[in-house]
Formats: sequence, structure tokens, C-alpha cells
Amino acid sequence: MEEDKFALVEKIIKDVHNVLSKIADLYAFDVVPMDINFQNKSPVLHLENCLGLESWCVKHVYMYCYSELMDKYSPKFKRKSKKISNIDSDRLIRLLNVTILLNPEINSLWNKRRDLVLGLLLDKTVELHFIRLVLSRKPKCNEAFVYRRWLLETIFQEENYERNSIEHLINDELIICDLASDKSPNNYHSWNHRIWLLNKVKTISTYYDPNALYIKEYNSSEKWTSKHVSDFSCFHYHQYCIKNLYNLCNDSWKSLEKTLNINFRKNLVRVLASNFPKDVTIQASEENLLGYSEENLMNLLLSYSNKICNCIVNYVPMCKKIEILFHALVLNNELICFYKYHETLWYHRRFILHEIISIMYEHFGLVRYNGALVKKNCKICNFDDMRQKQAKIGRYDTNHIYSSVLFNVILSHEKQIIEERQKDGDPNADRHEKYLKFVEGFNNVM
Amino acid sequence: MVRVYALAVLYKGVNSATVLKAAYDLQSFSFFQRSSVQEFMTFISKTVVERTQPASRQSVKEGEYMLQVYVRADNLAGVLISDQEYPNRVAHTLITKFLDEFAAKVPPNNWPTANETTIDFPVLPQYLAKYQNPKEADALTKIQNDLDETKIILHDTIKAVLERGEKLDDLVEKSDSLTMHSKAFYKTARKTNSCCNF
Repeated sequence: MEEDKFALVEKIIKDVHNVLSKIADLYAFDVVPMDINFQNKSPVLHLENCLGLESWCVKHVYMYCYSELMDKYSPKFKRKSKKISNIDSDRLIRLLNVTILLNPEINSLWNKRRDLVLGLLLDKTVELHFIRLVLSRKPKCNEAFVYRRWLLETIFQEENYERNSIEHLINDELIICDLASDKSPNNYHSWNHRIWLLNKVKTISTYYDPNALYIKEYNSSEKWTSKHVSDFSCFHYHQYCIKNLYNLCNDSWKSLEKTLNINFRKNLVRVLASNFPKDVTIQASEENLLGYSEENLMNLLLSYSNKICNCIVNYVPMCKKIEILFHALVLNNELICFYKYHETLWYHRRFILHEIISIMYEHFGLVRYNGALVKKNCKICNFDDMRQKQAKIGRYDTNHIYSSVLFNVILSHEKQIIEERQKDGDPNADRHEKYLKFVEGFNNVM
Repeated sequence: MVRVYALAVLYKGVNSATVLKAAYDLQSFSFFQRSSVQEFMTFISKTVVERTQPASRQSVKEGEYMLQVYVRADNLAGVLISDQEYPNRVAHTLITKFLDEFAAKVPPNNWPTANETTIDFPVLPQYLAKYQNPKEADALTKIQNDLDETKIILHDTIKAVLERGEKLDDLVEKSDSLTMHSKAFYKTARKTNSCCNF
């Protein structure tokens, strides 16, 4: 009886191995629920490029493979005789494939694969395909993602890498991340992998211009977030993408506007015009504002700078930042009104406001320290303002912030949405008000 | 995630409900699960329609899924299965819309005897694709917003819809419309849902 079972397991291992030999075509693996083997057929299914294993055999196969791996290939006993022969390695790979597909959360097994890759006994491209299969069943498997990053690192280090194969690799990674994120909501690991990838691209940017990728990723993450309104992992990635746009050059900026098919300046001006404080002496209409240069617009919004240093302020990137953030704010308004009561959307709103506010502090040469605003020393020109009394200057500066046009626009905008959502009974609106008052420190102006 | 998995038109007969037309989008499920998931969605739709009074609307939450049902006074019923993020209001307006169209296309005296193959109503798959984005549907919901007075009854689990003494496990076990495979699938799903899931 026992022998029969072993023979069966051996056959299953062989069948799985045969299917895996066409790994480039396979795109999914799954365990198919089946209580008993009533048809006396092989439990290995291969249909439409998917590999399946019937659930009744999983326990036997897993126990058999796992114990053989641990008994014969564990480093515990033969730390010295390390060399794996070819015949051995073939057997080892077969066992590893089955065991990892069934239970990918064992790092020792992935380490075995690392050894094999280093010994050139496993092919890196095939490995990438294999991880894809693993992720198709367990899209949140951290070990698989870690191994994937390790593989990619070694691939990127190979010197004779051509431009278009890198592009190909990057695209494949993005597709894998899409699949994993789609399969399982709040997939921290897949979004984290994506951030790692983009950071990696930055370091190898001699072959590759990352700006185009940033724009593409911003666009796709914007679409993704508007369809996954309670997935904060993808919102976090979206925030990363927003930050990537801050330093785009003029040409890239134009292609960004073209890809998204929007005019950032128009959007910003619309929000500004509808929220201008009533008592401002400069009454500007939407058409007037469109004619302003970046510098004039920023001067109107922030009117006054008390940076006492000699650095020249470049208004163009600052204006772009504000345009992006206002665009994000408007999108967030729409989502909050459409998909009601979603905490994640409000958290994203906090991020946007926090960014806008830090731009203002930066402009006024201030920094929030232990909850209080203090003067920041300019690191570039090392201007020494330590002689001046900090407390006095602090109060003086906050008045300037709170009377600036930008601040008043934001405040009136926030009050409006808080009021509107409170009427609808959204508890997040109250929380948002508290956040602005006590975390961002607006309690004496709100 | 905002996603619609299924749209279905059913007829609520005296003892049981029959499916008149249905469309499914099961891309997000793994290949080997799809047939079971589809069978199961049909089964649940029927079960819920049978337990809904005529001229009423219900929203049933079960795990991460949401089932919206509307049974009209003339016993024609519509079901929409989505995930939890899909706005209820949009879902119910969509159901009203396709039921109206269905009633206009297929004469009522055919309803009790017809089945999926005899009915010609090809627009469901199109709607299913189009309204994956609820904003598309929003234009139409704004008009209907104040037209419809029927209150939506909200249930937090499928248990609340079942009659007293009924259990879903027993219904699944007794059902003839589910294959062995789907029943095994249901049991496994039960087990995995009960343990921790991060």
C-alpha cells in the first residue's frame, strides 16, 4: 500500500515536471478542490496553459517531497560536501518545483534555488517564469518577490545588457505587479516591488530615460486608484508617483499633459478663482490668471517671502508642484463624493494637503519642529540668522502664512467639502477637520 | 476594487426561480475555479430571488461580495453581483434599466416557460463591460435618483436572507444544480475563509 503511494507520488512529480518543461506558456497554477480520487485519473491537470493539481493528493505529495528535501539536501548534515552533481540537481529541481508551488513561504527552499542559479544549474529567465506561476496562486507571497528582486539584481549587473532587453524586463515586471495587485486587494508586496523597480531604473538610467516611465506609471496609478478606492497600498504607490513628477523637465511636462489630456494650469486656476478670499484687493478672473507667468502666480498666492538668505528662488518647479497637487485634490473631491464613506480616500487627501502645506513652509523658510513652527537655516548659503530671537519671529511668520492667498484658498476649499460630507453623515469628514486642526496645527484659524 | 461579476435576469415562479438570461465576468478568478464560481453565482441568485418579496429591493453582503436583487411586482427579477465598493444606488438603477429593456423585448407570457437558450436578449454582456466603471452609469442614475421610491433593504450576510431554520450549507448539499466539483469548492472556500487572511 505504502509502496503504491510512493509510486503514485513519483508519477505526479514526473507529470508536473513534464508540464513545467513548457513553462514559458504557462500562466497560472492552482490547487483544484477534489475530495476523493473517484475517477482514477492523474491529478495533474494541464488545460489552456494552466497547471492544476487536485487537492486530494496535495498532502501526500507535499509530505513526500518535503521530507526528501530535508533529509537528503538539507545543509545541516553535509555542510562540507557542497558540490551538487548534475543528476542530483535534476532531482533537486523537480522536488523544489513541486514543494514551492504548493507552499512558497519557505525561505530555505528559495535559498536552494539561489544556490542552483549561482551554480548555473538553473536558468534565470526560466526562474522568472516560475515565480510568475507561484504568484498566480499566492499573489501576496513575500518570499517569491524577494527572490525575484535578487534575480533581477543579478541580471542588471550583467554588463552586456542591451537597451531593449531592459525595456522588456521592466515591462514584464510591471505586468506581473498588475496581475498580483489585481488578484489580491491591498497587496503591499506587489506595490512595494513596483517602487523598488522604479528606484532601480533610476540607478541604471544611463541606458534608460526614467521620465517617460514616471509619466506612464503616474497615469496608470491614477486610473488604478480611481477603481480601487479602498486599497491604500496602491494609493501609497500613487503618492510615490506624484512625487516623481515634481522634477520633470519642460519637455516631459508637456508630454505628461498630453498623455493625461489635461491642462494643469487651467485646473489650478479654476479652483483658485472659485475659492478666492473676498477681501483681497487683487480681484483676478480665470482669464486673467491664465495669462500670469509662474513667478507672478506664485507671488500672488504667497505674496511675501521672508527668507533672509541670498538664494534665488525658482518659481517654475514650485508652480508645477502646486499644479500637480491641486489636480490630485480635485480628483480626490470627485472620488470622495462618488464613493462615499471610504477612509482610504480621506487618508490620501491628508497626504495631498500635507504636501501643499510643506511647500508653503518651505517657501517661508520655516520648518515644523516638535509641533511648533521654527525658522529653518538655509543650508545652501549658510546664512546665519541664529542671532535673531526665534519665538518672536515664529509668530510673525505664521501670520504671513495664514494671510497668504494660497492658504485661504485651501482653507475655504476644505471647509466646503467637510461641510458637504458632514451633511451626508460621513464620519471621516469630522476626522479630517480634526486632522487639519490638530495635526497640521490650524486650530486657531479654523 | 470596483468590479461587477455578474448580471442576471430571473423569473420568480411559484416555487422556484429560473434564470432567463445571465452574463458573467470571471476573469479575476483562477481558471480552474471559474466554472464552479459561475455555478455558484447562479445558485445564490436563484436562492436569494426565491426569498425576496415581489416589488422589493435587497442588498446582500457576503464576505467581500455584494449581491443586489430587485424583484418587480410582475415577478421579473434582476440580480447584480459585484464587490463591496460598487455603489448600491448605481447597481439598483442599472438593474431597473435592464429589466425595463428586457420586459420591452420579451413578452411577459413567455417568462414562466422560457429558459436561457430560448431567449434573445444579447445586451447583458455589453452592459457588464460598460458598467465596470460605475461613473459611466452615473449619468443615468442622476435622472432616476428621485424616480424610484422603493427602499433598499440591506443585509449584512446571506444568513439574514434565508428563512428561519435554513442553512446555506444544507442548501448547497441538497442542490441538484451544483456539480460535485462545485460542492467540494464550496467546502474548501468555507475552510479558507474561516482562518486568518491577511
